[in-house]
Amino acid sequence: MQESQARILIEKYRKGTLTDEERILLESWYLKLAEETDLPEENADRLSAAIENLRPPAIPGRKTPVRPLLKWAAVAASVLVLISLVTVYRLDHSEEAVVSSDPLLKEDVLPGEHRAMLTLANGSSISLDKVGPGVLAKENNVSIVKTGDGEIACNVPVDSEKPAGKVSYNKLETPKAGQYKVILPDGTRAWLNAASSIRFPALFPAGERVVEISGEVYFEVARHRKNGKNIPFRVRSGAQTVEVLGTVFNVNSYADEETTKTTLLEGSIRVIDNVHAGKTVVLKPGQQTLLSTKIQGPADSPGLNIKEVNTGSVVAWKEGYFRFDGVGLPELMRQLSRWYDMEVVYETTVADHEFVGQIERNANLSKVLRILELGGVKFRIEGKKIIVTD
Amino acid sequence: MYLIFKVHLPFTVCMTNYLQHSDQALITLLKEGDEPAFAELHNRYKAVLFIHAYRMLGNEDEAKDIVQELFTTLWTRRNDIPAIYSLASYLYSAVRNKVLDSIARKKTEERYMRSLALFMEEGENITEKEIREKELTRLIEREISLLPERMREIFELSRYENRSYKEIAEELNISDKTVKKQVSNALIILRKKLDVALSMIFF
Repeated sequence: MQESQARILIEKYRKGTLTDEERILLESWYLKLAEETDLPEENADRLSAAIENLRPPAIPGRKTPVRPLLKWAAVAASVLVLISLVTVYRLDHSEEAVVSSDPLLKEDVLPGEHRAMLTLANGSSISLDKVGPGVLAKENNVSIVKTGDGEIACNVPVDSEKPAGKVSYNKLETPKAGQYKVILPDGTRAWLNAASSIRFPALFPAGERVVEISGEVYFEVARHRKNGKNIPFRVRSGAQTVEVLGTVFNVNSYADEETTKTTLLEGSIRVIDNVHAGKTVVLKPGQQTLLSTKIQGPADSPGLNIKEVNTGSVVAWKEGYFRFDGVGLPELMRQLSRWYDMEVVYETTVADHEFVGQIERNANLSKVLRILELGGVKFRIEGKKIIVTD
Repeated sequence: MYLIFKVHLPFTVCMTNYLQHSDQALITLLKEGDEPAFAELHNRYKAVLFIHAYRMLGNEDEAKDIVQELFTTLWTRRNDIPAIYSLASYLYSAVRNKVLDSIARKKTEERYMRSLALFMEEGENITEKEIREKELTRLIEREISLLPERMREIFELSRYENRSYKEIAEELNISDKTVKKQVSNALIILRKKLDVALSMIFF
């Protein structure tokens, strides 16, 4: 039988005992097979994401598998390639200089910084950028300490009693152009992006950890066990609840975005659609759920969608970058609006641009806008407004 | 339409240079243990290698593993890479061998064995090694046209970007595709403009 001979040939290949002639035969066949085989039917976006997520293998013999900066290598490379795309576009559409002379400089705007307001259970508020490091408050046994620039921590004595009865809540809120980090009483770390908030108990009650957020928050959840069982950590935001054990994830739930996006970086989380009570989705690392923020009731909600994403782009904000991965102009402008505390006004219809690339969040607004102008969008700054012009 | 900005990192400046390096230059750096050169090579070839393995095997995880293994080998055995050999040929032969390994492991799979049996009966061998290599290169670089549009644009541009100006010029002379020629020309001219523009912004 011919097929059995084919098997023998393959087996010889496997053992490395092919003759030269047989090797030529096998390699020739491979070319024919490659000629004839089609790519499986594929969702292009998913395939793109899969390719984008391919990282160089960790190099053996180093302490850390990948230098943090090395991760940007791939991005930086593709960004530079894309810069060329822009230039091609410019050549096609106009002969004028790539950079316009700069009226933007006249009214420049500084980037956001470490700013937040802490409201304690007793109702008093502390503007965190106005106080120095040290103990800010004591509630029962728990002290809230400003540990450094842009960070507060809730320090709980090891043997403290879990509160019985009424739980009191603290709230940390960042304004537009603000960002802050908090270490919660259970050791979970949360980073708040601009215009975001987190409401958390002064001390988590036994066997339960629940916080409420708005805006965008990145979590590194500490694992806690009680009587041999993991204590879940729940994050409520708008129409959804995220339930986790110990893991790293990002929730983007700005009310002015079309969807709440929950992205998992490590571990496992369960996302619960509160509108469709009980409808849940379990995420794997690298996946993101999307849930419409514009829903009134179960009837008009499409529920939770899952997609594969480049997680590096999702949490770049925490590392100090805007990073865009095929983002439209309106979404991009909303991000700028939050970080520079500016209103965005469109004097022109929004072209169907797609933005790919990254820029530092500590750049002045004029710098960001000038870079965006390389692609053909024009801006003007007037007071607290960014005006998108023709 | 894409529209873009640039990273402001000293690191990027060095990446810029890496991007302009030819494969040959990167290999030289790689042999000295240079990690960014390794990252750049990965970035340059991962898509085409992945798509090829995926197309041949129809299994995404297998394809991912193959690409990962290929680059692990490229790093660990960087000193064994033949000096004059083209890196593309080297990687393409390597991915072919990995795919064949994979087929060999699941030799019970009918479609491969039927195809091979048919070929043994009727097919024509390509005896010249050089011709086989060229054909393999052609087939693998064709994967680019199978890429989703956005990725394809990036890849095609990167093919030009990845070469030195001299190499681009050579490419232009032999290129029969006017479109590609124009793109390349535009890139060269505008990259100069942009370099100026970006240095105004950042420095």
